[in-house]
Amino acid sequence: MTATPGVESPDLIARARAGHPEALEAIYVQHGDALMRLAYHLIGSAADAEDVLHDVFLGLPEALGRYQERGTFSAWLRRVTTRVALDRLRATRRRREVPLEGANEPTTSASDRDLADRSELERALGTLPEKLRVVFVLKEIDGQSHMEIAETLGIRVGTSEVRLHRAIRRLRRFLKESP
Amino acid sequence: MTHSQWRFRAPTAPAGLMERVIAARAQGLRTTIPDGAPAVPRPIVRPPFVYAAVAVLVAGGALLRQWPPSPDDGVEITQTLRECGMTTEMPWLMTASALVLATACGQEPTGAVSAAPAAPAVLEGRGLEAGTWVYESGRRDGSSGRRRHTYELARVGDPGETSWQSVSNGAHRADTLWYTADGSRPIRQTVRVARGGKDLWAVDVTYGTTIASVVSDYLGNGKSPPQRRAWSNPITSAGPTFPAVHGPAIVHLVRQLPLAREWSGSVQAGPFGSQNPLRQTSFHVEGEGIVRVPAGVFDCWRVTVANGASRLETLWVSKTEQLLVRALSGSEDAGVEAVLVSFTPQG
Repeated sequence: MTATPGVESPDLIARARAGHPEALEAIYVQHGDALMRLAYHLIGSAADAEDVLHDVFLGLPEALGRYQERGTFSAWLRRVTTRVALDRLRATRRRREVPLEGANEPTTSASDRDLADRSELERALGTLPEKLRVVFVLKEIDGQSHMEIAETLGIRVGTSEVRLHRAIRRLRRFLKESP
Repeated sequence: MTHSQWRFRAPTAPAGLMERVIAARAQGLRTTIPDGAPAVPRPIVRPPFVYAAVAVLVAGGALLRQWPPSPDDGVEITQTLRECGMTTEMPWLMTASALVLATACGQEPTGAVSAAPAAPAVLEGRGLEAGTWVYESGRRDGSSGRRRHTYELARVGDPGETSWQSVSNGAHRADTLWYTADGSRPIRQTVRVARGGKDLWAVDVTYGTTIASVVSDYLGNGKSPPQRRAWSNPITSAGPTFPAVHGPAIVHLVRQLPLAREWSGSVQAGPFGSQNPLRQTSFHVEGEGIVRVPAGVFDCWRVTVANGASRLETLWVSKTEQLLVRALSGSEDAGVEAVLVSFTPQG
């Protein structure tokens, strides 16, 4: 399955809004991987990320009733997923120092050294406070702009930039100090 | 490695999840997920004590202009104060100005609301009146649809034991409130929330001298089986003078407030949406103006509603009928508002 967010036809969105299973399936095929990755990095647990995806697609037809087709559909979908993930994160009051659990699909093409770095990075990411981690994930992993992040989280662009800067500084410090 | 080289592993979207979703939807299960519309940053609202502190500093700065002191001040302690840049009068003036400004800014005394507060006697306004209110609500920036809510208030019960019953039905939520015959106290309140034809949760509160029972029945989130949970914070304290100040309660409450220019008052409200047994909710008439809504054009009081120092919302209440004509929570640009579409008195 590949994540290639593209331009959905109004017809596909209309059918998804009406709850047609094949339209939901098509959206899932197109965006599922990217949304899973986003939810996983925000929450830090594959099982919880799967629950987030489940909730998003279960409520998607009703939520699409509020979608006004301003901006891209994928940006809207990412915002919805981020908000569902953050709601879940806050509800479960997950301890931030718990490291990310192992991903269930390791990349086979990476070198051993690369894999070791990744594991350490994930551990470092798990130590960040929620506010910093969310901005870091949205900017550095999901590739969103500060403007998009600000719109998703209801913060100012400057706040997003400051949080990213702090997140990077903390990650660097953690990686420098870790054995 | 530089941060631009950071790479993170992640699982792919699980196969079979959509089958589960489609099967769940076929059974009528739904979830309510947040809106994907862009959010607007909240305006920076500083608590009143910040303004008070700034004013104190300004006052202090003004007093410093009295330097140097008169030559007859020879007491050692005065000299010490002067070395710090202060005069003997300054602490008094600073304290006084802080108190005045804190009061002017509407700051309330800190500390928890007592378990059995004295009920403020503010419900002396127009009184309750049977009728039907229709409101339309939505975000000011148009990022959400407009929804209609109908509130009906009627007298119920046998002669001699009459009370008031308020029934409201929104798109997803149904509230029923019962008040005493004089309308001054709530007797019972039930709320039921449903999405997509499925009940999500319900709550039933019985009020009295002591809140006798609070039952919360979570009917499931559309995914797991229905759950019944005990109220997280059992309440044993004096009853409120009004139920939670939102929804239909606020519509009926404003009719009972003796609104006038510069009037302020408060009620004990609760226990919905709060871990505290009771909350002190204050009202202040801060202005007036003409408001145009679908129900017509009204000459209104502009009333701010606050919990302590935090402003909750602004209400526009018509001067003659004391109808809640408009409510705004948040900013004029992107806040949520409700406007009166019609009011039909009964009998």
